[in-house]
Amino acid sequence: MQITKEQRVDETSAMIDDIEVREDPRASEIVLETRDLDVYYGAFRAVRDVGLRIRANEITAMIGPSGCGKSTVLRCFNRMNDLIESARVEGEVRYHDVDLYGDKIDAVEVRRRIGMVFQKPNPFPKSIFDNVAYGPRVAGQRRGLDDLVERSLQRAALWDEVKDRLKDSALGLSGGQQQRLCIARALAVDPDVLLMDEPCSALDPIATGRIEELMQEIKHDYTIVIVTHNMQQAARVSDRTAFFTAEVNEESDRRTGLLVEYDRTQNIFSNPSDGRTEAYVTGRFG
Amino acid sequence: MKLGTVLPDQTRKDVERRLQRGGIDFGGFVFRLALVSCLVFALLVLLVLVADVFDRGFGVLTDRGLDFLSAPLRTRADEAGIFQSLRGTFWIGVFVVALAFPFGIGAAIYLEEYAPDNRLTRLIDVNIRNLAGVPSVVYGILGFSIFVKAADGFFPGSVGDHAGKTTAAAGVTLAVLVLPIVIITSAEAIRAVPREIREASYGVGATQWDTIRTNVLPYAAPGILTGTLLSLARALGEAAPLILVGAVQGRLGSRTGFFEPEQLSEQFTAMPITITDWATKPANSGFVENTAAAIIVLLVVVLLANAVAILLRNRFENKRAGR
Amino acid sequence: MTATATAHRPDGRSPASSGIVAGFPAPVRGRIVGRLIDAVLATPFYIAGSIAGFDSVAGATIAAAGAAFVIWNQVWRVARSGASIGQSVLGIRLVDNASGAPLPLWRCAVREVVFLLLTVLTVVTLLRRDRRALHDLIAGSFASDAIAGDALRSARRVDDDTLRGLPGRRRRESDIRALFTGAAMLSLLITALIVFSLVAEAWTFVSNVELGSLWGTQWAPRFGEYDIKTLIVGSLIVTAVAMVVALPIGLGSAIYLSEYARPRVRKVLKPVLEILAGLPSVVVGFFALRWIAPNVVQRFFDAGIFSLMAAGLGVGLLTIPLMASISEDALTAVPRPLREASAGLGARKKTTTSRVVLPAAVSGLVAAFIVTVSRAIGETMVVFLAAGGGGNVATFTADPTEAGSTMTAAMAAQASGTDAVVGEALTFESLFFVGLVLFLVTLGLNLLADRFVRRVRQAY
Repeated sequence: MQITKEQRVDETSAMIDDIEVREDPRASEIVLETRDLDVYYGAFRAVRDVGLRIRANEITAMIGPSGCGKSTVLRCFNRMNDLIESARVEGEVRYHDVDLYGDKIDAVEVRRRIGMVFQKPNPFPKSIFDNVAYGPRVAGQRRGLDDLVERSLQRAALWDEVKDRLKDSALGLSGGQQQRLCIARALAVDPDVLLMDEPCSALDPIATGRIEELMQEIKHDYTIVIVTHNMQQAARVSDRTAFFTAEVNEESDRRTGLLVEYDRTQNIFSNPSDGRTEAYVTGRFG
Repeated sequence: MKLGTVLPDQTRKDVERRLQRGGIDFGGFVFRLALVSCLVFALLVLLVLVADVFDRGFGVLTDRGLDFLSAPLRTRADEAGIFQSLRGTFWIGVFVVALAFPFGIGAAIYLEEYAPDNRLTRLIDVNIRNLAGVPSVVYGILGFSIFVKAADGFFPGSVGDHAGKTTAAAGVTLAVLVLPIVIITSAEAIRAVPREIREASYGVGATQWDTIRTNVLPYAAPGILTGTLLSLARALGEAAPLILVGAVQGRLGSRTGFFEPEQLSEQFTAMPITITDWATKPANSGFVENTAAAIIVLLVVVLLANAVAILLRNRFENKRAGR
Repeated sequence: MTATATAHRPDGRSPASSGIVAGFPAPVRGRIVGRLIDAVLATPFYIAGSIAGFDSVAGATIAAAGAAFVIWNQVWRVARSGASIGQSVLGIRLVDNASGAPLPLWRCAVREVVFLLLTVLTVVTLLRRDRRALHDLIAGSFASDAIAGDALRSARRVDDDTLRGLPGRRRRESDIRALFTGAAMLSLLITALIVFSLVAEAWTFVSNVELGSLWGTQWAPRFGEYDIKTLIVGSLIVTAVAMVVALPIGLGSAIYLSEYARPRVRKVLKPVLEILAGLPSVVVGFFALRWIAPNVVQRFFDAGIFSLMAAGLGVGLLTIPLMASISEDALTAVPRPLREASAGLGARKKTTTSRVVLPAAVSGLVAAFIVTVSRAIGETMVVFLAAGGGGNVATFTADPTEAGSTMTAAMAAQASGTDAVVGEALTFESLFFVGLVLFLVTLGLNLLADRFVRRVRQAY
């Protein structure tokens, strides 16, 4: 009997599912999934062959040396790569089994469900209130903004610090506060998934600790994907970890990223199955 | 680029020679002095120009005061005033603000935010930069053969010889003249908006227009304002295209008040036109003094717009630099 | 497959809380701006019709096309998608007041007719709390805030359909994009109109002029003498004199500002150039005629009050800032490491500047020179006033101390004075011929400068 490629893929993935279900009967629903994902900038391939499954109410960390394409992959999840004119995506990114790069899918609609927090805190040069209310406002919400802003700031553990100066410029906040404001801003649109692109890299250890605590608190309501440079951070906060690395292209001297290993965080750090992962997590390279 | 290849051997020899000799760098001092004197020269000429104009014209303004501003064009120098010229310049400014600003900023938004990187975009880009370099008198031809005709048809009442040679035609001509400048300066201001702000906006599900309206434009506003003010000043000082559009240089009947829009379908004159007209009158007719007085008024208007624009830009440059 | 229920749901999304079946009313300001946009979109038809004349066949056709456009935009589009282009851009959706459903075509038409007939009255009635004006009341319509309305209807489910978004928002974005595209295309239209208005009449001149009249001793279009070399040589003289002033002063200022001036000094000296750049050319023309001519030209040369040299000096003054600012851009584009490399070898500032920075910036400096030349050739009023270019007749001269005219000033002179251009049959057309020559010369120079600028960008 002829077996088509698709069938084979289906069977393989079914097997993987079986294994995971056996390991953990409570394994939650798959929210995001990539299949054979390649990302190009012009003719240059930045990432190749990424296959990932991200599950609901978990924190998934993506780690790896710089230039390994982890941020590029993250930006595929809410189509932020659309903003770069030369960027092109091949393969599939599925969100609740809908192909995000499918025909007529609206990036705006995607981003209202899959929010993002960036590497450098990037509040708008507006008041604290207007920053948080921005997303709901552009989405058309006209009433109840006061409550919503308060609730979002509370979730981001920032309310007590700013409740008396909501009208002040957000640029007057400290770096850590600004990043929590950005989290509040992302939460205010009531997303399903929160993507965090090295959210603590510009922060001091205390501010980093607060953001990490915050992630643990909110993960019961959201699915979180975090890209981090910091292996300890991945080990501390995440449930699953994807390790990426880069291979140097001989001709162009540019690097193409690829996914090496994806597993429970515990396994990645204590019992990696790939030598490259082990080398990285033990600090031998990267 | 390899640095080593850029420095000619000559430099090295020169350096060696100087190291051995030491002492004061006389050549460098002279060089520097020459450079400074270039700017000082520009400053001096500017001062002489302003002093000369004030010397000639200030008396007229102090003697006649408001009368000079509110009197119409007359053949006797001590009765002639610039009422109609100010009125024409005012309405030209209105046209520039109402036409060149929205269309110019709109085109800049297209080029910076929407335009795909293709041939058409590059063509538009080159075209705009070339338009900015087209001599103003050529825009006069455009005004004369297109806008004057259009105004003739547009205002059913205007007939006869002067048909179409109206304030409206002049206003449109100068709005078109400064359009490329508005586009170029606005596009520069929009380009300077940091990527982080756009990303933050898109990241919470804002559409492209939401992002432009609520983040890009407010951030770029000071830069855009600076550019638009400079182009407004440029338009108010232009004379050549107005001559071709048919600005009146002699007497001009004055049927309408300063702010009445009926003026749009009437014949017109403007400050630079009156200055041109008076400047060429015989030296002892008293009109030279009038010209200088009119120049003072025009300079106040134009340089005020310039000064505000420059101050605004400096203030925001400081602010952005975090000072 | 649906997303898991989210823990908190923002208030204000349920239709019940708005109190009005059809949603939130659109803001008044948006409705007025929307109307303005629709009106602006229709004006090109009116202007084109005006030029053609509404009693001509062409004019009537344009008028009919305009009417068709207005009906398509303000009636048909409203019935089909709930918004004209102006309304769509401002986020307004027109719906039935009772049901919130789309409005049928005939009621859209009634609404527009009432608005056209009773514009003032409808604006006054906008003061009502639900913002339903007279034409809305008659047509049973309600102008709703489309974005808020979409929020009420948007589903949190995740499937192919919900992720495609609502069609209203997509149409709004594409309408807005179309408007901006139109604004950018306007620049192409302007160029086309300039070329069109120049070429047609210039062609009449070229094909009808007697070749003999193109070569003589003076430019006197009213007497049928079109010695174009008078104007070209005049332009060259004025430009050459101007560059003698603008090139060294502009370049020197630029070098000082970019290489030597400390930030504080820069902040004081730069505005000098900017104010100079802001001077209207008539002001400089006056200065050239009444101050430069007697105090400079006549002091050193045996010249009359009008001279090409006085005009050239004035134009030079006027173009210093242009030369300075483009040169400064070129100099600041030279990478820092290059300067540091030179300084690292122990070169003095002057050596670094003249042997390293200037050679590296040469493309940009050439571009600055070309643009400045182009600007000097295109300058009109200084020559018109100070060179005696305002007269009807310009006699050929190659002597800068004599009166003369340039291409630009000759055009202005021909159009000024009498209202109707009198004289030989081709007097009028010669204006366009000169204009075309001028346009082509400056276009060529600008394109050339562009190439040099591009070379700078490629290098760094």
